[in-house]
Amino acid sequence: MTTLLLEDNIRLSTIGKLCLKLAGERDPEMLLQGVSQLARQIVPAHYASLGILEGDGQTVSGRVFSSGIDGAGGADAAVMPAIPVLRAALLANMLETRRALRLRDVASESLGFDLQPEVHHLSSVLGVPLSNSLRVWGFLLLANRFDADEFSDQDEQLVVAFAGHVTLAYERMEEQRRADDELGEEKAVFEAMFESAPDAIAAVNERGRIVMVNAQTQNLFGYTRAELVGQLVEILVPERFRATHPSRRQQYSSSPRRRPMGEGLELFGRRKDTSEFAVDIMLSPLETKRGKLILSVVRDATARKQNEERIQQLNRSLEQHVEELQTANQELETFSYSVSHDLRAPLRQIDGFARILRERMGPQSDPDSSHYLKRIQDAATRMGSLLEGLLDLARLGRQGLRVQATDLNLLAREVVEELKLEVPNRQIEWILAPLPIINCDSVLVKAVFSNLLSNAVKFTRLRECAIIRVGQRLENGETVISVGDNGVGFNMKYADKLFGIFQRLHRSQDFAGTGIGLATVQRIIKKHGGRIWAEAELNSYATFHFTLLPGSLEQGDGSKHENEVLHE
Amino acid sequence: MSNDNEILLIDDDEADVELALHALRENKLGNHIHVLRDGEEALDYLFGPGREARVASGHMPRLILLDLKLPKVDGIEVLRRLKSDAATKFIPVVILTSSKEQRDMVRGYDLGVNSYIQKPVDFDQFRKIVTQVGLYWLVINQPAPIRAKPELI
Repeated sequence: MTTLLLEDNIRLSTIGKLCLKLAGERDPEMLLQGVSQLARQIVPAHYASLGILEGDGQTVSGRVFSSGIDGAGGADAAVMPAIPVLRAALLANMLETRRALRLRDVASESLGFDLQPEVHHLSSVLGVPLSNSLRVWGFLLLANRFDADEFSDQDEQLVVAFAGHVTLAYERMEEQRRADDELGEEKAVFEAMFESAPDAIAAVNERGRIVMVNAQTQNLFGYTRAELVGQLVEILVPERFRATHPSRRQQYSSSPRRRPMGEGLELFGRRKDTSEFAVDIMLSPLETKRGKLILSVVRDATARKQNEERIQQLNRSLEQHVEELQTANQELETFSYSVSHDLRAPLRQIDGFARILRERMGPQSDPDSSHYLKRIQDAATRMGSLLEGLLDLARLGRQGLRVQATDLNLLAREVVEELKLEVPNRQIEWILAPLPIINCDSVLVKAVFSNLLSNAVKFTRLRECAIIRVGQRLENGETVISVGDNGVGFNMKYADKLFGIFQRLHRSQDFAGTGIGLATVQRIIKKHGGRIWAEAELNSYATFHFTLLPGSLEQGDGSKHENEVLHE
Repeated sequence: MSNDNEILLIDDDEADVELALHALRENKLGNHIHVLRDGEEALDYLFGPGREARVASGHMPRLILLDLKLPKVDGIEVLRRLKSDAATKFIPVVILTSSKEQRDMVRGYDLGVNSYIQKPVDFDQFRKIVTQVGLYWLVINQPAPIRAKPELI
């Protein structure tokens, strides 16, 4: 009894030691290989093997780690062919029961299939599944030759206990391996990012030594990695800055934070060939087990500098153009000022003296002379209104837009009311469609309506019943406003001349005009970013269409109303 | 006091002056018109020798018609001098010019001009305006009381 207990104790302590050994193993392959041998140290057996199941959990994989008979060689090799058959037979049984299986004499047991004759060299067999709570992942097989003792209950218990430890150790290792794999993958990704970064990245330790650089650092500075690592970072700094650099570096180390280096300063790097180049540098502190590191990300700023210089150049030339433009504008202003002042005076004088002369000649004078004097006065008056129009046009070029939300309905109606007063005897049917509220310069846009509508009144002079129509429609997402009349119209082949200054399509004795109105209208429309065009037929109709600045058109409530027809 | 209704017409344009005189005379306002051809002449007349005597005797113009574009010293400068001198600042000054440039109008009113009129191209209108201006300032308007003694100024 005492002997037995003693033996048990020895074997238990062996298990303890072995388990420690298992726990200390880092390599799963070594673990698996060692298990069968260790098993034989716990339970003396001629043969032991560890089989691993395929992923399906049903079949034995090619991975079998064995020790014993095969290693011993000689006559026992005869047993070996029987082992795989035996293994398969035991496995089937163990998968079903998930328990250990012990046979005292394998030859005499019925295992449900024929064992080859070689199995007769074996007697006692012990199979123990290696399993966790979820599945059987492998099994231990121990076998004794016919001439040895059979396995005892105690042997079985010991091997089962051992199997538990093996599973634990194996799973721990598998987990570790998976974690290592993941870590390795992450590390590989980070390394690739580090290496392929378009900027040079260098890690520098607290003593200013370069610890690590990426590939771009080599490209940018012309040093190899080996030439840089271990060197003071000043190797990359132009010589004229080297003396002061270490103190600046230490200053940064004492209160490091992520920031651009030398904010607002021009920074330079120095290549191996001593040439210098402009750089932008970003510094960030990094705490590691090996101590504090400073990561410097260095970017070649040559292109940026060049671009900035180009922008500055462009700016300078732009400023110059602006200045020239201002000068031109001032000249124009001076010109229109003197036009307004200097050309007006002689006109007034021509008119004045012609009138005085006519008055002096009295009613009995020669009708021809009187007629000629009238002609002189008319010409002066006409030139006066030409000057007036020209000045308005010139002023338009100078002044900016005073944009505000404007109800075009009000604008159009105001103009119509003014025109009605001017031609009280005309029969005109005004058809005013609802117009939108838009953001525009109301004074200028009123001038547009005023010009277009007074043209409409003028060119329908010969119609017994004139129809003048103001409309709007949506065309390709743009609001188009139109002013049309049933007047004398014009031939479309002259349409391109309509908006030119001093261009007239009618003789002035038929329809008076300066030839400046539509040029002014077009100038106003263009200032608003819009377009104007016309369609017409001679002796039939004329319609002017225009848009104002894109995006400025907001639909007002006007559109809800029916067309408004005003009969005169 | 033959100069009591004196009008100063400061304009360098012969023809304009002639037309203005024509219009004023038609309306019996042209008896005491003194024409000055440029800014310098105007300043000499107003502030030159004899000024003190004129001020003392109260012989100051009742109305000044001032063109802006003048040789040597321009109308704005003449206006500035007129309105910054205690002896002349109450004389009504009417700018009569071809210009209707905003900056001229703003400068004129800034300096305290009494009226700003653009000469119309049409002579008939010009004539009416000149007449109205003359009648208004010489007949209708009540002038500032004359202060005869310089030391009171």
